Amino acid sequence: MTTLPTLDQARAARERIAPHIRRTPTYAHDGIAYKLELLQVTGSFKARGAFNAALQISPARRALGVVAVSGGNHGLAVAHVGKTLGIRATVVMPETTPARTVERARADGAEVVLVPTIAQAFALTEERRAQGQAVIHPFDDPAVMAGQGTIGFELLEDIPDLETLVVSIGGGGLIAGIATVVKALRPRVRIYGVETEGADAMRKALDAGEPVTLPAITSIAKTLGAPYVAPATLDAAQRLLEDVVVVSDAQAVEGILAVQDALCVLPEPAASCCYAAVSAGLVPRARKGTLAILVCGGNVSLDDLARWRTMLAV
Amino acid sequence: MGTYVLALVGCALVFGGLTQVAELQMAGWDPESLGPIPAALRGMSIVGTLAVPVLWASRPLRAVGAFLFGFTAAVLLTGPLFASLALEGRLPHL
Repeated sequence: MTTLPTLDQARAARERIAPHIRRTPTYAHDGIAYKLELLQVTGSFKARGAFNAALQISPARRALGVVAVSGGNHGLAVAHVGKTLGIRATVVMPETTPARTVERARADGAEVVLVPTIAQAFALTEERRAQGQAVIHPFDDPAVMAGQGTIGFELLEDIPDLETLVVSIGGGGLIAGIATVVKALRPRVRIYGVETEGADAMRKALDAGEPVTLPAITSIAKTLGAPYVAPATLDAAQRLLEDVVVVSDAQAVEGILAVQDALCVLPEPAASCCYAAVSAGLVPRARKGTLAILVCGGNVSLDDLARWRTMLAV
Repeated sequence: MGTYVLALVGCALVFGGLTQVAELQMAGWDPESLGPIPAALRGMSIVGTLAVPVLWASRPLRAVGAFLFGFTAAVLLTGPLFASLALEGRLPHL
């Protein structure tokens, strides 16, 4: 079983990836702190984990290339990593991936393979692994989690009185990495996970006490669309999180509009769901310190937003 | 002798248990920032387990033994709280 990263591994990751990523800002608005990770290279936090994993692959294995499965953001990150480090990157994506995302990955030089479902994408990735390519898993890899965990250091530096932190969950790698760092350095910070209905693999796993495979991802938040969570990320959720709450797609879209109105940035539903959870009262407000929301990505188009608003009557 | 043995077993169970709980709570915390706190709690548990039964078995020192029992238990119970304050920089740097 994959293990969670240690604090030292996250510290090493921070040093390792520093030349390649942006130190994203945190802004306060109306009593909430927003960590704008959507300003990260490739538009989401995923570059942190992808760089940390790729930089630890031996030169001999790098020569064979890397392969990744992704619903979007991780694929973009791996394509960017491949271009930056001179590694041949293959990204396996479900056919439902927006054309814009596929084009961006290809523009970074990645070979994009489209398959009908995300489950088939994972299966094809395993085949490539058997052929010798290094797999950069989107979440079930301590190196990836350690890379995502570097956000935790920045949060604690930017928000000294951090009391409550809200982070969205796909496969759980992001929240597992951040929680490992934040809880090691500030054990009293309360961390909440957020998912959307139809992409709630962690909530279902917590209820069942073991990873559960979702039959299909029906949420518009495709970047939260991991069909299952890893045992390691489930373990982190059980031990380090206060709760994992679920919001509807409509609430996530309302969250996009609210965050855009507040900060003049356009988050994707996988990020705005955190704001939705706070505004719906599913996450308690901080009493003395600061409540922070991680705006983890912004890979959304105005066309997508318009379509969702029509579809969900928001 | 019986009193001593009973007190020894009782202290070992209580202090040992409290130390385990504290160590579990602090398991993922930054060892660098925690510094000597985990070792100090373990030391406190051992010293308490050895000293309290001796004092308890001696009639004139029983009150001191009772005080030391309570003091040790309180330190072990509150240790993680002080450790978390230390991590937040609210206590002098260790």
